[in-house]
Amino acid sequence: MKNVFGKLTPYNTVIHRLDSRIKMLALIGFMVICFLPYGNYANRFIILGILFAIILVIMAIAKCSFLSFLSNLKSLWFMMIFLLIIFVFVPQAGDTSSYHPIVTFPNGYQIYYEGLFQSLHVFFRLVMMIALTLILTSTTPPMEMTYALEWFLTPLRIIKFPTQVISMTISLALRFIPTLLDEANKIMKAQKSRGVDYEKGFLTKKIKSVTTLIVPLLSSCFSRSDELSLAMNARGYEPYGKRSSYRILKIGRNDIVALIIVFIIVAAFSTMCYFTQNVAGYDNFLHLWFGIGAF
Amino acid sequence: MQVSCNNVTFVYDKKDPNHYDALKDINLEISKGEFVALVGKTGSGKSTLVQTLNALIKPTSGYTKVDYFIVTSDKKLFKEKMKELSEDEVKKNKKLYLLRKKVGLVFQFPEYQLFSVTVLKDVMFGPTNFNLTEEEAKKVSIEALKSVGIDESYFNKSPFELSGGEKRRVAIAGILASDPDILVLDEPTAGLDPDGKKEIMEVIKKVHEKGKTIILVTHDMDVVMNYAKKVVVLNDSKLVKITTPHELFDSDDIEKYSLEIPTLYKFKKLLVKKGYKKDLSNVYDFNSLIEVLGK
Repeated sequence: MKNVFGKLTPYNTVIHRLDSRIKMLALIGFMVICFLPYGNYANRFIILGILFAIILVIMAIAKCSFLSFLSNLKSLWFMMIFLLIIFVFVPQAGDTSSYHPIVTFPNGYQIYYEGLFQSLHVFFRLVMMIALTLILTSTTPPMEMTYALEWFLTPLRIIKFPTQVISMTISLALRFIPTLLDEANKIMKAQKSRGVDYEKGFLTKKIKSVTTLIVPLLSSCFSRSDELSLAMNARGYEPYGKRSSYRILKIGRNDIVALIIVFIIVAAFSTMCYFTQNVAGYDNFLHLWFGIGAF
Repeated sequence: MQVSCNNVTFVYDKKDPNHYDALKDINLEISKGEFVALVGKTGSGKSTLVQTLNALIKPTSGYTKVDYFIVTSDKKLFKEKMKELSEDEVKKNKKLYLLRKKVGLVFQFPEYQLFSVTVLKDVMFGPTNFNLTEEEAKKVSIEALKSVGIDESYFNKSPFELSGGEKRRVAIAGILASDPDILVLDEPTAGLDPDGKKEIMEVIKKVHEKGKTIILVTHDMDVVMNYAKKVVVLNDSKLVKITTPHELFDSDDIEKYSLEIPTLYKFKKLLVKKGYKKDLSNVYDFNSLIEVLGK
């Protein structure tokens, strides 16, 4: 069983050392500019291309393995086919008079280049999302992410929202993912030696073999959480008490620099979004500047 | 030879930058009806080695041979070995479940593999997977349950209601019911009280007396002393010694492998240290010790 997103990589790069809160903010910022509209398709692909180049540079700085990125993408092929079918073959809504048909069927049904571009556009966004989350997960220990989350939730304390309890729950859940994976692996092996074949067999047989995994896993899950809560009680855990933290998040100079860079990038792309959407002519700056393309 | 390991090497996750060899060039032969103990400190590769017998783990290089079953992930080697076998045997090699029926593997804390509604059904799960009919499975399961000392009043109870020791015995019965030729047990006595320990070991002894091969992974040197005829010592993924319990405990390098010395041998060593002059080399249990001391 592999992690869907990359594991933490054992390096100590600038990105690894950044404050997790900054990294999360940056992730959100980048995701927003990924999803902004930038005029017509030619514009969109160029601008997103620039953004992708920036993301690749960050990946290189963070020493993310490009291979693990590609292997994450491998699972997307089904999605891509699905998107293609939906966007290309399902009739377009609204005014299609300005669209560029690829083929026109005798009954008047048309397939447009726009549909193709639309699916590519969505796919491109997804690829970038994966790249971004990969950077975050491979440079930030899960624990630090929960600290960051807790910090972001602090304003909710005003309305008596139990942020500490939530963050404790999340960090415990994260902590037990590898343990449970190990456990699942062990149980699978034990059942395999009792003759279960998890790979072969028809659906009914497969469902049966999955129960042989899930029932023991659930039961050990419950007994584990039981023991854990006892152990926490024994060590005097009080969910609503005032807590101190072993690790105190501190903003350093690098963090501020990173924040400014992220801010500049987000601002730049938002400006581009504004221009391409609202200023006449810019929605197709290729046409404006080089006189090419009218997509 | 019923079981033979030939230059077995195993590497967990080769791509991982900090990977290591879990097994290094292991050569081992075990013949039918032997009672072998596999000892070594934690992380020495014992559990990995026994899993290769069952094809749960396939050696990265080298191969494990159980009767005519060849276990290796080296495809070239596998093909070569297949040439030496008869057509029928080659066919059987493709059916993993036949190997898993032949080699019964009881994992550490086997109570975690229980999943069924009743004790009897859980034990029947193995035999039915190995293509026995419902009735046959029921018959062998009842026999197996009785052989581990679980009587009829338990048959319709939920396995989750049982005590720890009972659960373990049910789990072992689950393996015994498939009537394996080779019974492999990974620390069957871990976490049991002295009575529970003795009960389990007596069950194993009975199975051995029926002519089955027993391979026992254990940290408990008293168990090794009392039951095993042959000891295989693993240290740092390498096989360092094949000997008898008596020789192993009498030798001085036992501490090198971080093994605990059984009480009897501790006493013997203490006697020698304090200046006891008589020959103690023939002392292998408490009776013979008393005999020598009494002379």
